[in-house]
Amino acid sequence: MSSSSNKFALIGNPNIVRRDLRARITGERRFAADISAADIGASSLVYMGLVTSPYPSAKVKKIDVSKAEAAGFATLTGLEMPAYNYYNPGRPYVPLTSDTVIFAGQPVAAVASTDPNGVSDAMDLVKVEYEPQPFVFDPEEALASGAPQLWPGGNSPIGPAPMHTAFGDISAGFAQADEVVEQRFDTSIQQHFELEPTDCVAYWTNSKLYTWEKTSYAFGDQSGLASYFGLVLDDVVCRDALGGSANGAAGGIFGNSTGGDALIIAAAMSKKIGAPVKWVATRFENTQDTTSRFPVRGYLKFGGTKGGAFTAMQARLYYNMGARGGAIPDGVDDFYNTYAVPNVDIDTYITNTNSFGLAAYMRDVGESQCHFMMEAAVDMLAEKLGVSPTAFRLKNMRTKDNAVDPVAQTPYSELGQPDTFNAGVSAFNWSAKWQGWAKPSSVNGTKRRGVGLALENGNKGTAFPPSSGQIQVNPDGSVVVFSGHCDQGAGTHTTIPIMAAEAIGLTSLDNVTYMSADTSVNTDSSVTAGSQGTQNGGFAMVAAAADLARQWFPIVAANLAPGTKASNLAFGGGIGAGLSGLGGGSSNQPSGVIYDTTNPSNSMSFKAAAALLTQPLTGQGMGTPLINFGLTHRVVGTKLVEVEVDTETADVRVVNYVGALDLGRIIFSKGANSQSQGGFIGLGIGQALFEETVNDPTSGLNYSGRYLNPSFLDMKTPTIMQTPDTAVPVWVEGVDPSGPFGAKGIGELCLIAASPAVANALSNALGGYRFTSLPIRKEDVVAALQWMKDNGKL
Amino acid sequence: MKAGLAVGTVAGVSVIAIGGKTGLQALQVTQPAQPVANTDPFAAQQITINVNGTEQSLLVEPRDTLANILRDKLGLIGTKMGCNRMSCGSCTVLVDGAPTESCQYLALWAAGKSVTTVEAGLLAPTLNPKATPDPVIGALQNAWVQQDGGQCAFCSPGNIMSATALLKQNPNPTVDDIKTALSGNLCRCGNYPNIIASVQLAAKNLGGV
Repeated sequence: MSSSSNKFALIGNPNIVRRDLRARITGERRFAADISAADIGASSLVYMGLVTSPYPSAKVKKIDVSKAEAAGFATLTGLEMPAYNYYNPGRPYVPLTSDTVIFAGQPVAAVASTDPNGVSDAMDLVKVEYEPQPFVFDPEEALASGAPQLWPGGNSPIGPAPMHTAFGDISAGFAQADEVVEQRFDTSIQQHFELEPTDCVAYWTNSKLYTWEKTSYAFGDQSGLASYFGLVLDDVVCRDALGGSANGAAGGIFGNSTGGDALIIAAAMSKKIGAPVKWVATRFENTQDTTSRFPVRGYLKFGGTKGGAFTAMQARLYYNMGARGGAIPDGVDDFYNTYAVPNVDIDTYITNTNSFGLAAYMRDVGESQCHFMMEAAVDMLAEKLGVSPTAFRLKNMRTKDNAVDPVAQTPYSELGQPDTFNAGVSAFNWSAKWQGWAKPSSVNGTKRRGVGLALENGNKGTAFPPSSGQIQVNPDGSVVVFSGHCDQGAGTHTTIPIMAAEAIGLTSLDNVTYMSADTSVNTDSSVTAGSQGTQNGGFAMVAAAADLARQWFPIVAANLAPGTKASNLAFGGGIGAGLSGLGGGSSNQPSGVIYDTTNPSNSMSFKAAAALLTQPLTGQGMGTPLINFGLTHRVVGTKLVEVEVDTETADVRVVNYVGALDLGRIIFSKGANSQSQGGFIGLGIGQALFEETVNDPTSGLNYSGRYLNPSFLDMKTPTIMQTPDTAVPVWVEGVDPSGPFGAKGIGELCLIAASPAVANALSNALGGYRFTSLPIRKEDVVAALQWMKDNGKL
Repeated sequence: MKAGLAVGTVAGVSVIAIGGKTGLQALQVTQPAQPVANTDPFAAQQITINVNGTEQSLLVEPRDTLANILRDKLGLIGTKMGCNRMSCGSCTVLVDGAPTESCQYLALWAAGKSVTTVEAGLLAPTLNPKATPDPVIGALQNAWVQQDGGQCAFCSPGNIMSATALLKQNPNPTVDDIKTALSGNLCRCGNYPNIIASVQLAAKNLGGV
């Protein structure tokens, strides 16, 4: 075996297939929605439905469940449930409201039926009287005096004053500028619309609560339920679907985990009726009762010099967190971490409105919203300055050479710029396609093409809170990997076994079993979200491998050449002698052996070493949160897009896409490839071109404020017809010295700059017309075409 | 548990009546008449459906959908439910060979017909060891694994069934043929390039392009 570094057997191996895919596509693996009574050892299931408010703001005058009860259905109302502070400290919230409604779709009552067909019958029999109240959807109006108040303390979880982020001298920055652009931008409320609706089964039996849900954090569900019901942790068992050795499966989550309200309501219903309760959200409920991507409004003012220097960046941002959202100002930091601007001044207002229920994470948090406006405004400024979009970005982007976070004042762990930019521009063949500002890349009859690009730089994959896990080696050489990380499509059930197996020098995953999230089997894995499953899970695995070595190597040393010291032994391949797993160094010896670093021929095969064990040996590991390294962690990339607009029909098609991403070390190659193109196509094109949840803003109507499009029919997500002709992921493996094996996060990076890249390309195709709100609807394209005709550009 | 939670309540039946009538009207219009022994048009009926090669005798309500029967009564959970409104394609099965969204197809309509689900593939433990596994579904499932055709894979069974219908009709599909055939199957992971590659590989392995 070569002695050169990084000869991994499993990490980055392009032949490794998704381990649980076969089971998921044959009807063998159970998603939470598939769980039957027999799967959980019960004789039957009771099916639950939620009665929800059609009004975004109302007083509940009366809830009458008597007819439903008389018909034999079980019911539950807020009068039977205490308030809790789970999401938003200081703002007690009742999972089922009995007095005040603050968003359309807020659950008011729950019903249950032994017959799944009976759920809708039961819902129809619950009569609720509402007194509609004034509501507010607009974040700026919500902060104005006289606005309808959602909460006693006002319409902001942090108070009316903005969060302020500033450095340099913003006035001096604008004084130096030759040109200034000022523009308002808006983004939409977007639904996760994952294919498997949010769902769970809850069973309260023998004073213990068991749940099986579609989740990204079973341990968070466990602590939330224990806290709400006043139980000790040991009396609550939560699983990722069937979890454990059965292995969970989640049909996409993208941030919309089932934890929280519905899980609490299902548990309370089960406690009340003494039977296992199953809840599968209807698509309508999935829009209304669960979380949404929150819209951000931004007033941006950017200034620069004729020489292409970015001198001033000012922003006033309004985060509309819906009725219940707290302060999640992610994305603000992207402005000054993406560009090395000397003078920055950003005010961020956090607001609550009646426009939707709970603002939360949706494959990135606020990053894609902030990037949309930032990267569109950067293009506007560069155009005004007469500098090309590539030259302006190259001159001003933050790179590894000026690598200190200007606010946190900590160095970056690793920053793959300008590497991703250069790699992306080259792979896209940008210089051949770019004809200049407002000049289409090609015109063929009614088909006009344009190109656009956008940088991305987000605070993702921070590996916090820390993760724990175990690796168990059995005497027969088989291995069990214990990690509570869930697989919602990211390939986690493959990625973590790869890292565990590589860490102990295995050459194959054939005899490796994965134990997925089950709080009665695993220890706290941390959350599988925020692009950190790989880092978090990986940290725990390399630590577990080190613990395994500490216990195992003395036994092995006693069976090697006389005088062999356990402290000199190492796993071949894998993480090698260092056993820290950080940065990605590997052993200079082949995988599958345990060897003496002072005399490599003094070695024993993994299997022979396992046979020395008289019982299973378990190594326990706890990951280290990246925050402990005193570094700023960023995920960075560059997206380049070519669009085609039919000037006759206003149809828009993304034709070519290149996503150049700094992914750190690639662990699961096929999965990384799928995610890096899929995040752009599945969520990014939708965010750019179609997706918005629309509320009826009309007041005075009976059903004013209702959602108008809570279905796949009315709120289209991208279909296979939107597949670009080419979608090329370009990986810059900038090995992160603080990541397990040098890995970084992927999940959100694949999406972040999708919408501005599309918007900038559309502008290029359509004579320089600027799109300033998401989504860019067909009517916006029609307006652009009309503007072009009015100005002699078409 | 309350005794009345059992099936068949007064209020429940009054609502069932509306759905049942609609279903029966549609049945008469679009389907060959089925023998109906019970004079109550809303009563459950005993029907026979050939599922993956095995005759299944089932008691179904007029409002039961084929998806519900497959999943809840036969345990064939490979057929997924994403929207229950015929707009995502996750529940696609073959009814007499035609791709059909089973969430909006009444179980009664399937009486006497042949239904094929993703479990009929070579890879699945089949319900009936004597039944012949479907080689096209099996080839698609193999290709899916090789080309990473599913990320969360919740949409995969529906996509595989739509692709099965395509390949049985057109063993040499172009990319546009594949896109058209699968245009009703949503994939929120955006895995479409891999889905196309999976169908292409299956076609190749089956002796097509």
